[in-house]
Amino acid sequence: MMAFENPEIASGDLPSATAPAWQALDPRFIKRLLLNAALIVSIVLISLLVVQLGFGTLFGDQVIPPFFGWLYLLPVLLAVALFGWPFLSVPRQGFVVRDKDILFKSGVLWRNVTAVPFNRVQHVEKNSTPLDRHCQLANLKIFTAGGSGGDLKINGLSADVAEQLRAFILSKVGAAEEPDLPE
Amino acid sequence: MTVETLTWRRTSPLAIVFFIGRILEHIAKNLTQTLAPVAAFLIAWEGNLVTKVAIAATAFAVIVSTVAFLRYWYFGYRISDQAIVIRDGVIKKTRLDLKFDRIQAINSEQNVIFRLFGLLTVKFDTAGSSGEEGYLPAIRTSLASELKTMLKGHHSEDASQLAGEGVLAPDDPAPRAVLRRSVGEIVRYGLSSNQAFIYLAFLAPFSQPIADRIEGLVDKQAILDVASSAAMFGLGQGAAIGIGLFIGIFIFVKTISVIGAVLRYHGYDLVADKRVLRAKGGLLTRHENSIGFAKIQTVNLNQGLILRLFRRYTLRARQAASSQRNRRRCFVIPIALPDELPGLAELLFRREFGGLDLDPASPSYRPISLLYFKSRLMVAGVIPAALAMVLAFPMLGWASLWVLAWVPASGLVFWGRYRRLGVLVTRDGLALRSGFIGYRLTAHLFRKVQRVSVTQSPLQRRKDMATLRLYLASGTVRVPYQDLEYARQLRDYVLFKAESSTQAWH
Repeated sequence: MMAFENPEIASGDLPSATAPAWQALDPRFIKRLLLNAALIVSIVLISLLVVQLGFGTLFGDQVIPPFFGWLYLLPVLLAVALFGWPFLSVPRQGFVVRDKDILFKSGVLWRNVTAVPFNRVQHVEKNSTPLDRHCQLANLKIFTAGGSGGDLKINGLSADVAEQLRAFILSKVGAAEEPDLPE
Repeated sequence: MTVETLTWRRTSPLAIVFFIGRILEHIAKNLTQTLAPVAAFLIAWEGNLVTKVAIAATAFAVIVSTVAFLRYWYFGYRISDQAIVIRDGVIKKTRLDLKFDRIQAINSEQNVIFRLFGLLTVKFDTAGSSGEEGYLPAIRTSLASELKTMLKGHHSEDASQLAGEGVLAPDDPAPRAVLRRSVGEIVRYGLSSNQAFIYLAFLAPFSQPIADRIEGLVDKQAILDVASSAAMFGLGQGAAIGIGLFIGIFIFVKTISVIGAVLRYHGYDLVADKRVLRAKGGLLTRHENSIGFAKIQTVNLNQGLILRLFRRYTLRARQAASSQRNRRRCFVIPIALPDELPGLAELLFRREFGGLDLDPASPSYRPISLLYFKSRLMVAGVIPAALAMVLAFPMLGWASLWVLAWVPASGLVFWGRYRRLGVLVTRDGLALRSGFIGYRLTAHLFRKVQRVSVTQSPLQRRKDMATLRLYLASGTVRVPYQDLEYARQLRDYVLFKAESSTQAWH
């Protein structure tokens, strides 16, 4: 009987290299999440200012309720959470590509490791938002049967690694490789 | 000859009956929108109520019949040796191309009218691959048989290929009877099922407006009189009336369930050949459903309180589902006896699941860690009760201690659930037992698993435990509170089975 083997493969040398246990996400992913956090906090802050100044100008300061000032705590709390979270979550995420499957770990409080065998992959999707592209990052979604969305989502890969991974997984699935679409 | 060169064929004009049924079903599902104009007409037009209802009913019947006729007129199909093409729709036209190798099974329905004329409706099961449902209404039974033979021919090509690879035996024996259910057994199933709620759900949109109307018509003073006289009877009689009402509703609901079960499963007959499991049944409309053994992803066994009393089980075989809607669709064996379970386990998994015991009371199911009970009791029992007591104390004083009664009450529920939880792991697959009053069992082969995850909550990390989730194309199986090392070993073994399997998972 033939022995079953499933060696690890490093993302930097796909498809044949052997790898250390967990591959970390791209360090630029933290910068991307911080930019995202800055955007959200700014939007909340600007909205509050617009409401206060707009209403104050149109109807006079007496229409602004006295507790309104406390609402400015919201962007402060949001900033603490959103700027702090990437430093906790990103180092705890990682992936391992093996010959027959891919593993992804995530979670700060609830730690999760998901494994997807390549022979169960239906299709692979690579996408990137403008912020991702600004940081030269891309996200990978791996779909299996019966799932309602992306069954395995790996965000924060460098664009090159994401493309290598996509091509490698598709070669394992046996699907025809499509030309890379312009971003 | 390609399918494009064939002429469009039309079904029997009796297909209008089928389309009327479809339209009424659609109306029932979208009741408020579709009946709003009728309701507006009834309210707005002044005149005799009987005349209003008669005009509305006539208009409704004319519109439904006209739409059904148009749908019949524009419905067409072509059959080639490779595919079936169906065109449908009057305004929004759709064209459905169904290749035989994509069709998993051909199911049929034959209502009383169709039976008189030797017609039936076939539905093409393509679950898991498309949201579209293909059907041919009111076609001759001979054509349905021909279609089934064509599908069988396509599947046997696949089978012979598999036989060549040593996966299947080349012989394909004639279908053999697996089980047959008497009316008594179907009545037992009806008593145990909640089918009545499905029928009542159709009436629900009607019930509130009707109730409002009745309330408006009845003299409010009369209600007050009844209420005051009821108050005079005292609490004892009030409770008796409440219990009587509850029993009355229970009997009503169960009667509807039994009628529904007899209508759907009367003369239930289960047959199997090498590849397909086929069930026939139904009193007025005869249903024929089938499922390919290879398509089965999970098998569920259910035994609620009533089925426990009867010592019976319901089994469901689930196949790949591409959406939540498809996920509810499954092949049902409405009632099975305890001594039939080993045979059914062998049959449904084609002897591939060695060591599977479908008897939920079997000692072969390993209990899970007691930490499951403790964590549930803490998170959903003790902590919320303590918080509620602290919040209520300033208002209620020591009376707020009553909130703590939640702890033993929730404890009983979680203890019951913990006692039911059990797992059976064999070389080929896993069966998970759960439930509270009754039993629910989910069994599947490892090689059909799509992905696996191991999760640790903060508490589980402290105790070196983990929850294993096995994702299948038909749903997820969650095995909670396993030793971390065991969960990892099991994950790797499941991956090994899925990755090294040479058989198709669907």
